Amino acid sequence: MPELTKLIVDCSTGEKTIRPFDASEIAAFEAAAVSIAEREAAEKAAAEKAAADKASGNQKLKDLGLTDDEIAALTS
Amino acid sequence: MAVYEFVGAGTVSGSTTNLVSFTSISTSDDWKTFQLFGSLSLQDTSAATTQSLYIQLNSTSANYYIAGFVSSGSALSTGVWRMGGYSQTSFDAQSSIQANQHWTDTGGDWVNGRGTTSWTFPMAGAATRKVAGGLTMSGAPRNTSAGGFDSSTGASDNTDALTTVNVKCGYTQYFGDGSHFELYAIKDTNA
Repeated sequence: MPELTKLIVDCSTGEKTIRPFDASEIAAFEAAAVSIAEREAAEKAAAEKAAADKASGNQKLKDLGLTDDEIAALTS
Repeated sequence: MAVYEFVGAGTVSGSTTNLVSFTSISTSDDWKTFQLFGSLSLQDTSAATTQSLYIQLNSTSANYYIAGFVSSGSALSTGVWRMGGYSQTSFDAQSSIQANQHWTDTGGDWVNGRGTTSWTFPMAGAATRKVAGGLTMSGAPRNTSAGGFDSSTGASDNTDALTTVNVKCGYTQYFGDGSHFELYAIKDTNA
């Protein structure tokens, strides 16, 4: 990855400064990337489980003899 | 009387800038609402197809990642605004999906277009306090060759003065050359 930089606009003076990320900013950046990836993975897993649970539940209701309309009426 | 005032502006040059930071925002002026305008493109240093952008409001007490979007990176894909942030604990509707956001890109590369939009940060609270209180992303034009944003809103319960506004790319990303941001605010001189 190329060196990341930060554009700083000092609103009190109008001065603009471009400087590379320092060590602490790089560390925070990398930690954030991990956190985001973990959250996205957790959300994806939760969504997949919910979809699987829904499909499984619908099938069990069908196995009991309910029609699609009846299932829709129960679950809406 | 309310006065609309320029606060600061910055233009990105080159292809390395990941963060644009508006610092030293006055804490003595009675700013009521901030508005940040952006004309930007996002580009990626890798083949990653998830693009993200965060608006970070820093108060005197803490940093608040209050919003961002994540896109799957495919053309006309539907990403989501994620209100609140991964490290945010006091933002309403944290991590919930508030609105859709669309960018158009090709293969995770944002060279197709530049999105233009604005974000507003309504302040609230006691007379001269700058409460990092709210956020609204306004809509922007979008089509198959340019990025854009849908609208979304949120709120924070942080009650300290706003000092810094950051616009931040996701990991491995940077703002395209020439991306430009301007920050304005309304000051209520009668407060």
